[in-house]
Amino acid sequence: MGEFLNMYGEALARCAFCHDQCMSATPEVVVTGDQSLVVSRVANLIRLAGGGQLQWSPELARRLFFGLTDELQFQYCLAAKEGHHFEPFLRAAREEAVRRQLAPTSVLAVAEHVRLSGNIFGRREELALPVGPAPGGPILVHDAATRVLTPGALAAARDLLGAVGPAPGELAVPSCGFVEFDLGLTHQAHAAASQAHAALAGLPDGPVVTTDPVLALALRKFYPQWGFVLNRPVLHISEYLAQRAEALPGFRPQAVTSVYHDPAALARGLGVVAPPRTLLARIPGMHLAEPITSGIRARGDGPLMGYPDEFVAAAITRARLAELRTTGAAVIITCSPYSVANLSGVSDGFPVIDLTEFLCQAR
Amino acid sequence: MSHSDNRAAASANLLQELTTILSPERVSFDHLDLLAYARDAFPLAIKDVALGDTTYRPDVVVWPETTEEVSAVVEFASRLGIPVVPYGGGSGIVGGALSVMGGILVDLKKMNSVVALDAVSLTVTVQSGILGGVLEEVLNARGYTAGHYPQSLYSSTVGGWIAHRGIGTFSTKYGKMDDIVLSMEVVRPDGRVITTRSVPQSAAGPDLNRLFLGAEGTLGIVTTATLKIHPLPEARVHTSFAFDSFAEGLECVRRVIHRDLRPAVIRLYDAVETQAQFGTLGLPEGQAVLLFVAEGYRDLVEVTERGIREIAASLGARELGSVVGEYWLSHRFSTAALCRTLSKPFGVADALEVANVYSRLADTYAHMKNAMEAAAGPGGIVYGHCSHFYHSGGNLYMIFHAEADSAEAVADRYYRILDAAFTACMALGGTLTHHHGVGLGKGRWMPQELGDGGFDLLQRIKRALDPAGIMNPGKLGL
Repeated sequence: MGEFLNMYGEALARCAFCHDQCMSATPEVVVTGDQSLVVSRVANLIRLAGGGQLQWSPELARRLFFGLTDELQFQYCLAAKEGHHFEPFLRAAREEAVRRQLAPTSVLAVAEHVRLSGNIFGRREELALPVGPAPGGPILVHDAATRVLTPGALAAARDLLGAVGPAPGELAVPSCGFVEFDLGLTHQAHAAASQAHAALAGLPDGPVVTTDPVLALALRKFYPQWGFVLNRPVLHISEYLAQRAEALPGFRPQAVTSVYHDPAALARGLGVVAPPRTLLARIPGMHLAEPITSGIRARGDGPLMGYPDEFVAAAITRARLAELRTTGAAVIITCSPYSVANLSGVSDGFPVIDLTEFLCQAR
Repeated sequence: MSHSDNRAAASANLLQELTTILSPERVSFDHLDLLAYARDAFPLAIKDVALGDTTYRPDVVVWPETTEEVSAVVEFASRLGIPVVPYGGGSGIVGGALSVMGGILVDLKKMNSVVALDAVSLTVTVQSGILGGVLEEVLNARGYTAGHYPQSLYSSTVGGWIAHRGIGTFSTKYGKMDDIVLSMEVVRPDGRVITTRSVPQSAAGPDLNRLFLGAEGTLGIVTTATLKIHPLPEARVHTSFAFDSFAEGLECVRRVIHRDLRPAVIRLYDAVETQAQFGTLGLPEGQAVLLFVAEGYRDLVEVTERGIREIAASLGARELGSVVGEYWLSHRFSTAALCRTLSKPFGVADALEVANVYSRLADTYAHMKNAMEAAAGPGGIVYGHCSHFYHSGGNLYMIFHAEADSAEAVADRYYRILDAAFTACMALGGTLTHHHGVGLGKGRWMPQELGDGGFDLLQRIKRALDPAGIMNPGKLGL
């Protein structure tokens, strides 16, 4: 842990001594009121544990896996404006908790799933062989998240990509590795990334397109940090389609009010806010409402996987759902398998649909 | 039984009792929770907790959701004589939310609902635990603002604003919490609940709202409040000026206010803070900067801006355009400089906010600065600004960064600087706090602030309402 403090000491100190300007952007605090879940308090525990003044324990480890790293807190973080980020030390502390075998059972379950199946859901899959794109076409990349959580989005993506340009290729990988990385399962993350990187390297040139913002975030932002350089553009499908919007087929009028929910990985992680709205604006007659928080300041829809408290997770999702429904919308549109799964999971039948599926249905 | 056995037994009894009032997940004795709540933003407490010191650790944390639950907790505590400490966002920098005698810490942040919005009267009723940032989001989405933007907007609650008579940076237009609050619901120290009337004014005896504004939870817990709101402004204009001296800048402000102009923001920085805040903008050294933000209806904003320009020009000020104001706006919630100093092993820093009338404000600044620099010692830095103005005067922020010789000497250095500052301020008739409140940190100066008779009266009020002394003990010097 001495090395840990050497690496992250300044960022930890800046966070632990902070005035908590991220508090109203910390989802756990908003739904539970529990100030101990503000990142500064967690940072202080990490510092004390690092300095030997606090014993590592399952209770301490559990707290490390709160504080969603969906980057909303960054919008308000004073230290981040000076280049001190909390995500690296939080993830490093999670890794330490895993190494000490103190991580919550929710995290260990993900690790076990990965061990058994290669993906975070534990689903055994026979993956189709990669298919190269037509010249100039994109490669549709997906991992288990899309296949398990929004299989319909995958079919819709194939349909839409085929409609706007050369036929896409396709690559199915077990996992992009981001969830594992986020949970401190570093070896598993690198193994997944290595596998995906090698598979992509065997395919012809062409941009990567995906329906999953988490996958896009991993490939675009984190793979280079991990040493896996792709040498090809990585786009969320909304970006790819918006660039070719004129080639999209016409949409039938939809006399409905909808609301678009910005997934954290897409809006804050990749800065992609306008393209989904550009696509939805092409549907005649549809009113697109905006929730109280949207774009890079959109409140999150809940955690990805391995979160240590399902009640808190559900409360975060319910709070976002309530905010979206106050717009009067009859349908919630989003474009992340995790967001669709989270919001659908608490929506009591209120329609939540992936962007690609919605566009296909409107054709 | 050992002391720790006694404490464990007491905790077990407390848990049993409290879980008859609140669901078990809203009651915590967890050591790590208690450590997290052993500080607010009081500089010395932040440093203590960072070292693992748990001096201000509560015995239990509870998260009520309703006034009835708060009432039941307080009534229970009253029966057993257990201290009760209300806790909002923990953003107060005077130690007002520290558990100096352990007890039950009541975190109100789960009471975060917007109860009602009266668009005709322009009021909003909220539970007191709502965070400022969340409240603004909700109001903005409906076309309104509370107009209350303290530096702690994203980490403070409405209850905390009321408890400390807080203020926002746009106060010249929107007012202080004293002006913003119409009514409140309060749980008294015996658990009974009172609700004041949501009316614009009243003459039905002394104003009970005033009893609880600034009481810092020593007389009860505010659970709901009705606040004034405003339509979002249709125009916003920044202007700023350089003056040769702080005193000339103050004179400009006085003339603006006395000409009945009401920009939303007025901020006058001394030459040192001008460079600390705006050094990257290339402003000339040795000059004070005065910035204004006017907002509201376009025609009124134009009149305000024109009037300010005329007055500033008449005093020979050099106009700096809008860049200073825009820069300030984008950095206005940052307390990074204070936090940076506090994170140094022996570093200590604070922002003291006093107030005085115009005729003594410039002298107050000069005397405080001299006294604080002497107390801060070698390497200490002291600078100041004024940022809230009224008909008769304004506030004065005096900020210091200093370094003690050792960890043990930090508190001594801190209090020596405060003593120098407040002694100088009060000698000129100023008040020791304009909007941060008293809390733990400034309690020792309260007899001097109120005078013997005044402090005795405050003590008698406290005893009358809270004979067992359970409500937020150790604050306000009580």
